Amino acid sequence: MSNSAIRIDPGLTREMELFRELGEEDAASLAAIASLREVAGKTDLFSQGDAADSLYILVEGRISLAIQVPGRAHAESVVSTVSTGELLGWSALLPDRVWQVSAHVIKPSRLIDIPGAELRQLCERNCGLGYKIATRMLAVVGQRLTESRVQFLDIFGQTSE
Amino acid sequence: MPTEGLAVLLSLLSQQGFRLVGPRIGNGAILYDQIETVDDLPVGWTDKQAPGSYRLEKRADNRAFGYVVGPQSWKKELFLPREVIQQSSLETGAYQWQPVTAPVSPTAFIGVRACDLAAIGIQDRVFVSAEQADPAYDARRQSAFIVAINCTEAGELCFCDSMGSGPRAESDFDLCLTEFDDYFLVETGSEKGAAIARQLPLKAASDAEKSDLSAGIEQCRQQMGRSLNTEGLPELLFGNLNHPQWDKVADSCLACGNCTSVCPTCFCYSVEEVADLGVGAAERERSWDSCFLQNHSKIHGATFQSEIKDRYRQWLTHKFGSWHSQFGTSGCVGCGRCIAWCPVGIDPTEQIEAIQQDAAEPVALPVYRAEAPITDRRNLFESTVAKITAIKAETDDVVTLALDLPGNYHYQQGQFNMLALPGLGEVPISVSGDSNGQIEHTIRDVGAVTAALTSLKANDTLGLRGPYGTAWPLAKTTGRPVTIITGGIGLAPLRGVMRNLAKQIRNPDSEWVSLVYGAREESGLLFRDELEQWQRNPAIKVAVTLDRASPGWSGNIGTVTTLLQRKQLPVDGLYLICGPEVMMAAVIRQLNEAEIAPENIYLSMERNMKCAAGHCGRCQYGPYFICKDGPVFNYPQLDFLFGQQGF
Amino acid sequence: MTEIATDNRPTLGVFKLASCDGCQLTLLDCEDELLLLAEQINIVHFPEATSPGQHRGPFDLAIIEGSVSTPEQLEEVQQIRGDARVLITIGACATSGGIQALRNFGDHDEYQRVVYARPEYISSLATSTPVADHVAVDFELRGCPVSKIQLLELITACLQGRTPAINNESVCVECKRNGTVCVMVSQQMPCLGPVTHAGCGAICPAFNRGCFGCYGPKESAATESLAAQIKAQGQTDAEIKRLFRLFTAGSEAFSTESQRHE
Repeated sequence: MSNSAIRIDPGLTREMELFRELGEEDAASLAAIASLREVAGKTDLFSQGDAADSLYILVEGRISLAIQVPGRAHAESVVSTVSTGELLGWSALLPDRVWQVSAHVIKPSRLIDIPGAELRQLCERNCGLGYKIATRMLAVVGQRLTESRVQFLDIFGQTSE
Repeated sequence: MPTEGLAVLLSLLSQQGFRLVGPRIGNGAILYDQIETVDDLPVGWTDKQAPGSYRLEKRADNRAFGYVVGPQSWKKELFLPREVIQQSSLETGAYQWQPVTAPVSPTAFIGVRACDLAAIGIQDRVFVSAEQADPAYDARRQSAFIVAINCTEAGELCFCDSMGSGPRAESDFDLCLTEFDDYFLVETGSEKGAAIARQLPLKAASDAEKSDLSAGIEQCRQQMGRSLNTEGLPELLFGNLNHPQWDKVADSCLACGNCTSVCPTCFCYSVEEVADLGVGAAERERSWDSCFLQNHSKIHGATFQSEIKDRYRQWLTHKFGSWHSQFGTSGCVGCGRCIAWCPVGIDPTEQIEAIQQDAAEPVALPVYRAEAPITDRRNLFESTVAKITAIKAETDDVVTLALDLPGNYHYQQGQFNMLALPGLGEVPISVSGDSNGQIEHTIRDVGAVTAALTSLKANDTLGLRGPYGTAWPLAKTTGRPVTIITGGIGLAPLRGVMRNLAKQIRNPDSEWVSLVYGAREESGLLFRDELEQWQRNPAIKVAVTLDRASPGWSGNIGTVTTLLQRKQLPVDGLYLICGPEVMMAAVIRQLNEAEIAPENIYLSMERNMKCAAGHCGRCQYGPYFICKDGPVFNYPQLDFLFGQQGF
Repeated sequence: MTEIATDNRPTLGVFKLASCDGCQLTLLDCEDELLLLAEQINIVHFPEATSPGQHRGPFDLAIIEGSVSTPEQLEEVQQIRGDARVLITIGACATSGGIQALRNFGDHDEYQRVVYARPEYISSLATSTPVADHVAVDFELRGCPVSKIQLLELITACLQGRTPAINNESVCVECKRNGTVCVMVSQQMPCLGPVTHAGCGAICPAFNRGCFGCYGPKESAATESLAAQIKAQGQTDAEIKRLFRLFTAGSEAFSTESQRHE
């Protein structure tokens, strides 16, 4: 995995929706713990079951999220695709901090990497910021859930008599 | 006219070659049956009616028309309970449908009450005044001679006074009688009627006799056993689709279809293919259907009105509500038949009253606009034989057929044709484009008929009639961004639009086209060559998303809404949507959140279509017939109903 | 029936479980059409019409008459299903358990003791059940017996690959199309028509009798509301129970309703 950590430019954070919502001061404190990362295509950002250590915001690129299906010919199944501007890695905010899915980098991507441990500390110190981030996370989780439900409905499949 | 004049009238009509149908006692009820003389009439009998109950009783006098209404109405004479409408034949190697024109025997209807006269007028609007006429109904209607009868007594279940359809017959009859103890008053309503009247033993009515008439009519109004407040009723019903009364009535409703069968205005019918084992002609038969039956709202396995509650609500909101938008009149004439002949005696006037007493806000409904009737009186089921010139398998279960059609066939993108295979059936399929003068249909195998259509070979023929329905607003695509959101087979009705847009010279910055297309899996993607071709067009952005990934798929996985979220959604853009209703509902929600003007959103709907002319009632969606008011709708048309379960 | 060596006609097997044979006889009753049918289909197993023999699958179409009433029949339906591309069941026995399903409401062992001198020779199940309770069925044709026209229509549709024109509507709709006056409304006669699957052509009301429910419950059978009305018209609970316990007593809707009046 190409893995070059760069401090992030405030100009970039202003482009990202999450930072815009936070206001200048909070955005700055979040930017202070975050770094910019570039990852090459056809690599894995993280793997299901590993320790979830960072939350990511995709600045550019495409990443697919896949779940393992033991015993199947294709041992895993892609359940969702994450694109520019979107968040991934909400597991990093949870106490057990284990990745629930694997993240495959489909196109070379740039990511904002926010270390989970520091983020949790920051949120605990600053509950207002913590609330905003948690709400944002909830929206991401909710969106994925809704999407999964619709996929589960198999609306393009055949209706049985 | 003296009482004896009635016999003269009947014999005059018989002599003129009319078959007489009038009241006659049979099976403990007064039926409308073939009669010969006055002896066949229920002289001295009346009917006592209550919810779920009907009994004959002797009268104290000898009136011939001293009853209210029986279980039958005149619709059985005009809109037959069962009728073979077509037969197929094998000619020069190609199956062809031949319309069946049963000989019409001119019939005189003896004793048509004002409510039933109004009901005939209402069915006329359905079958002959609409864009397309039903020739068989029309022929029977034209040849009928109507002897109306004014009511001077009302029954326990009558409410024609509330519906404005009686008790006095005002027009649309040839002759009108009012019966008194020892004489009839006779009015003429047509030239035909006047010619007969000249041969009747008539004398001018005295002032006293004339005042007997108005007193009789007034007495009848006072006796009405039921009443209904019809003010603002359509809007009120559609504003109360979730009223608890619907659940309550569903507890007792049997969904048996008796009310719709006895209703003199209910017009829904089903069309079925009847073919025997031999090589004999396949027939297409139509028969009375009912919105209380499961198959009424069923398309390829899905039933839109699966609960009894849905079906009762469909019936009542149609009869007293959406009928106004469709035909400019209520569908109820207040005859009370549905109350008497409901085995459990459900009374719609009570249901409506319960809703009125505890009602939510009314909603606006589309306003009725009269259609210019097409003078062409061809059988509306008559189809053209189309020959398949090319077949392309799009996916495992989807094929595109290219068809050779006569030069005078013109369609617009979004419209559909009815495709038929004799002995198998007929299905509505949207046109998915045209090339080299041939029109294309992209068909998915979802049932018996589509299975047969998708396995046809080049040079095979099929029956085609159309085009039907509304089109995508192509004129509105100019000078603005266009976003097309489709899922599954829903791309087919929009392919023509995409082709059209791809041919235009569009500014990629201000007039870009965005196609958002969702499918189940990679192997289910339609028109892959064209998708790639469009992708290369600088003004077109194509985004595809799948529900399930296959190995090697590097595109998006997820729903169209997720994909749409990443797109620019210009407020002044045009949005065209076609796909499963769940998908369309989610997309609409998203567009609403993005504050897109509803006027800029168009979508294509699907329901159970049998006739494609707004006659059979099967594809109703609230006030609309999907076959002629749709399938393409501007979203504000549907706003008040879209997403409501059970429609 | 003789088999033709180069026969590419689809094969038909007709099977009988616990039943009176009436539905199979309906097929034989088809006479003229039966000859046409035999031209288009290879009848390889039909005990009622041919000499008995071991049935040999696979069958393009298998038709079962009768209910599952013995342990052997439980195994037989599995085998038939395995051998059949399309499986249709015909008649009240095969689709609802038949009149013999009345035992489902009583004590099976006691019946055996009372009826048979040597009950130990009897091997039967405690219940008589429809075939669809045990294996997947492609189409259930109702009726006691089935209608000849519907049976031909079903077989023809199977051969032609189309949806059979067999409606799941109520008997009432047939009465109304026929112009028959409702016996329940005009005479307060108990009638199962509003909750019964159509197909018979509404014969009984045309002969001034209430519907006996031979075709079993229609979809969305509102039996509770109908029973309440029949009771309001003067019938006792015992009479209502009997009404729902005839040829299709084993169907879920009718058996539940009959139990409400015990």
